[in-house]
Amino acid sequence: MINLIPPSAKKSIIIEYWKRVIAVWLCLFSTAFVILAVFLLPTHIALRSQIEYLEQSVSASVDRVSNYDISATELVTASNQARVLLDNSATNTPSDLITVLNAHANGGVALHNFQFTKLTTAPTISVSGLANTREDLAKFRDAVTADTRFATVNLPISNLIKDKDLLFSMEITLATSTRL
Amino acid sequence: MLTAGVFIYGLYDVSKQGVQYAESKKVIGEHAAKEASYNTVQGLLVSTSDDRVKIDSLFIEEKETISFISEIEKNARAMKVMLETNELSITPSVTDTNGVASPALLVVGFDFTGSQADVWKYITLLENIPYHKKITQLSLVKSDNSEWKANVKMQLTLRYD
Repeated sequence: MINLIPPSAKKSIIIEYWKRVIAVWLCLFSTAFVILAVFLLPTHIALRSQIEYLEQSVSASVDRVSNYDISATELVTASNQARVLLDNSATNTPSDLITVLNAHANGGVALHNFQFTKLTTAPTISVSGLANTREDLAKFRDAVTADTRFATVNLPISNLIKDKDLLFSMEITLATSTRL
Repeated sequence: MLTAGVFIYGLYDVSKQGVQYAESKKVIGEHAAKEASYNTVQGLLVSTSDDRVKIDSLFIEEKETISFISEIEKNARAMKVMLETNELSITPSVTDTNGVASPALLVVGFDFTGSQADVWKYITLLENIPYHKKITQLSLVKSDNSEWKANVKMQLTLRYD
């Protein structure tokens, strides 16, 4: 078969052919995109409405949660205060211990001076007074030493020089179980 | 081309909404858990309200300092004790390395004199002040004229803010 179409016309026919091929493919793609878009539309609408609902829930929830923070702070404060009360619960008061020491003095010793120091670390009581006799002072020291509320009793030996009307001073450390 | 552009934008938008949806659901989940805790906390708040009021009343507030000192001085006069306030200061709250805050303290000191019985009663009164406190220093000395002189220093725990 002899092709009688001149080369210039042949060239324009081929160009026209490809234009039409591309146009057909573009039409097909467009149709496909439109169909897919139609399928996506319900998802888009559903998601949008869900997000709006969730956003409303979030804002309502944020309001409630801010109340939670306030309430939690109140409980934490109460808990801290209760902890302070438990940590520092005293087992004795200074006047209890003065009463105990006066009881141990038992008439033979008169106590004139009480100094409670280092009460937050290692509580110590410095006591001074007048003992009728050396024996009375020794008895007082022994009675205080035997008392479990006190850990150590320090009575310098120089306090026992005289045998009557002894002025003395004594340092008593509280036992760890005796909390003031 | 326009259709393709619109389609690609649509895909991008749906994908973005998906991410937003997942994030919102996560936030809602967290808040739902917090709400459950909130309900528990609310229950605790209601059931412990009386106890918390009692605990609160055991701690002095800074604004009550003046009335507290006035009350102490008034009681001293009533108990025939000569009293002088020699110290009044506030030790601020301190937070340790573990993040636990120790409360602020109101530090007060008093010198007072009187008969043995009166001084004794007054010491007992100070020991029984209805606030959380610690007596940090106490001295009691009998003077030559049979009067007793006392010095008391105490730390009252200030109410937490």
